[in-house]
Amino acid sequence: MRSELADEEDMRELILEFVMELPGRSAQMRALTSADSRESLRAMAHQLKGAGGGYGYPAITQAAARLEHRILSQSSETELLESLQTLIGCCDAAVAGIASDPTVTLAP
Amino acid sequence: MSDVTSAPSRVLLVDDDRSIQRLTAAFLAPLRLDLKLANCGAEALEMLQRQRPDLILLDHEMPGESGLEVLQRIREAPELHDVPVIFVTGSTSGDIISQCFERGANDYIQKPLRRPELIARVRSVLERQQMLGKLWRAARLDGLTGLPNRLLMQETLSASLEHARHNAQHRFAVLFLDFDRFKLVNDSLGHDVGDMLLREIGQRLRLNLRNSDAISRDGAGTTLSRIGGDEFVILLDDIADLDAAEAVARRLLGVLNEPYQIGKHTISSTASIGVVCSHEGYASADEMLRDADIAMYEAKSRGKGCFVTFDPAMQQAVIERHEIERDLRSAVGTDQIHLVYQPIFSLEDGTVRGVEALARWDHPTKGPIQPDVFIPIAEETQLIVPLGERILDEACRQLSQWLANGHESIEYISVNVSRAQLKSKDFARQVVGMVRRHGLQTRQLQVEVTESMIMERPDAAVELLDELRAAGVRLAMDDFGTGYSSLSCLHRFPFDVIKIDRSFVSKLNTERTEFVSLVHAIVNLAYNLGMDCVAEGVESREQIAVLLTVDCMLGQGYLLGEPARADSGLLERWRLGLTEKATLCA
Repeated sequence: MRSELADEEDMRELILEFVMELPGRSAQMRALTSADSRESLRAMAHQLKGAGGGYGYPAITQAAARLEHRILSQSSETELLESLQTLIGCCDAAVAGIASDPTVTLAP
Repeated sequence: MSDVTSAPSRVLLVDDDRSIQRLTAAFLAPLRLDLKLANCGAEALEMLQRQRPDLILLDHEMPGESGLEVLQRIREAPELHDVPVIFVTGSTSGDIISQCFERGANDYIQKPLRRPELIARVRSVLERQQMLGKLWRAARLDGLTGLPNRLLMQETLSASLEHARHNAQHRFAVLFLDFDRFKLVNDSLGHDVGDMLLREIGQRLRLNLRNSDAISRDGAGTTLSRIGGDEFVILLDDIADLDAAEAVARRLLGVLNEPYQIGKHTISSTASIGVVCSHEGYASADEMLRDADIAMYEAKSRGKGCFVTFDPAMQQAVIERHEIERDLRSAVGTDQIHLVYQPIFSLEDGTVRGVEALARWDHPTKGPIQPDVFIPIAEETQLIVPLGERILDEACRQLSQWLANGHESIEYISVNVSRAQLKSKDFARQVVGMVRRHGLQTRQLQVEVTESMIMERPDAAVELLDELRAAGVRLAMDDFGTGYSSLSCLHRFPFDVIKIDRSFVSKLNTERTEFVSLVHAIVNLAYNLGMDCVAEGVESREQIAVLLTVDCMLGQGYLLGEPARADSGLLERWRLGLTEKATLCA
């Protein structure tokens, strides 16, 4: 998955920085699936909902919004985990997109 | 974002997500803002205590206080209530959006952020702020000097008073400064020069006061303002004591005394400063300005070029002045104000040549009030117009009566006129009309003006004096020698007589040869210009003897005849004095 803003010169470095943080966020969210950490998980989803589209990843915003909504509407555990998995999938796709983008030079 | 004249706009972004902080900064980079970041409400509020931004971008969902709660606290803070806030929220809930507007947000932006929208909304709010800033400056800054004007000074002073009410230790002082010869500069050299002088004065004051930053409202310290004309007011905030304020006043007097080079003119003048300290317990800015103004007037009346610290007794003097003004209104036209007459003698043969009419006011409760007290008040209040007319009328009537009673040796009656009368375009015509009405010749009236009066507007004065002279009225320059330009400009004015000021005459004795020489020079100059001389304030026989040796043939003074009412025996008493005077002159 490639950012919609990837061709904007002044955005490249910012997008890279954002995407490099995604695996960390995914790992944190995976660790927050117990019932008593719902609010923390929701807060993280809320942040990604706000940030994703801004960096050119509307899919991240959509997936994060669905997860936040399911937490707020107290959906079933299964539905919730499914939304989380979708969101993490989007994040992974963004990372993969960067790695395969010939225009992006990854810092060593 | 900034225009050519101002610093970059200060924007505070409050958001806990660093990826949003970075993104916002990148999106807004083209506006060249001074962007500050806060990670939560508490940090934002702490930063706002230190510096007021031009705009706050406030995220809703943050750890700790929510954006809505922070917004409420911003609006409740007196110094921040009007800072624009754009609410930023990832929520699509209509409820939160309504609440953000209810609590005073100016606009809102939905996350995820989009660059064009963010720029457009931020720019729109900042442009409005800049417009408001321009209006604010136009209403509060003096266009000529760029300094705060009266309104801003009043606001700043009110804020200092408010601060002092809550902080007993807080002291501040107000300096009220007036340039002593500004009116003369404006009248004689023109308004352009006057304006340039005001700018120069403003600049000198600015350079000599620390922290004179009153335009930004967040800095305590010194505020310099021009509140009108040549009046400057300085607020010295947070000073240790009165001594500190007086030290500043003393320093400024020195700075302002230095000559000013304005174009081709070199202008020298002093300034007068009134000082007032906050500990007097003032309730309003206007009260404090009023007292500083009173102290400044006191500095003027103590000889100018000095500073005076306000004392409540000075206010009593102002109250008395107001009473005099009020009573003068009812006194004009009654016999409370009447004329006394003083003879002008020939020092050679002791005959009365002319008579000077002088106004006196017998106040019903305060007793006699001197002309140097009530004439300036009459001038300021324009009461001088009816008063001057009445004096002229009464003087002409009296001479007419004396002549009818056979005292034909009196050649003229002499009347002092005021600044206000000199400014009246109709004055010459009025004078001539008055003289004729009493059946007199114009040569039988002498008009006395002082040098300082004509030097205010020399060109206009020459015109009026020429007009009076052409009509035949005698003209006398009063108090000659007390002004600064006497000798140099005497030839410009069509005087018949110059009256040598008493300050010269009083020093005439055989041991003070320098004054004898000076008076001799004045007499010679007058004769060469075809003018007569009258010595004022003659009080001793020795003075008469000296005056005769320098060819000054006319004199008046207490020795020769005190000013007195025109009762039936007055001329007889003057005549009876002849014998004695004859022996004096021998």
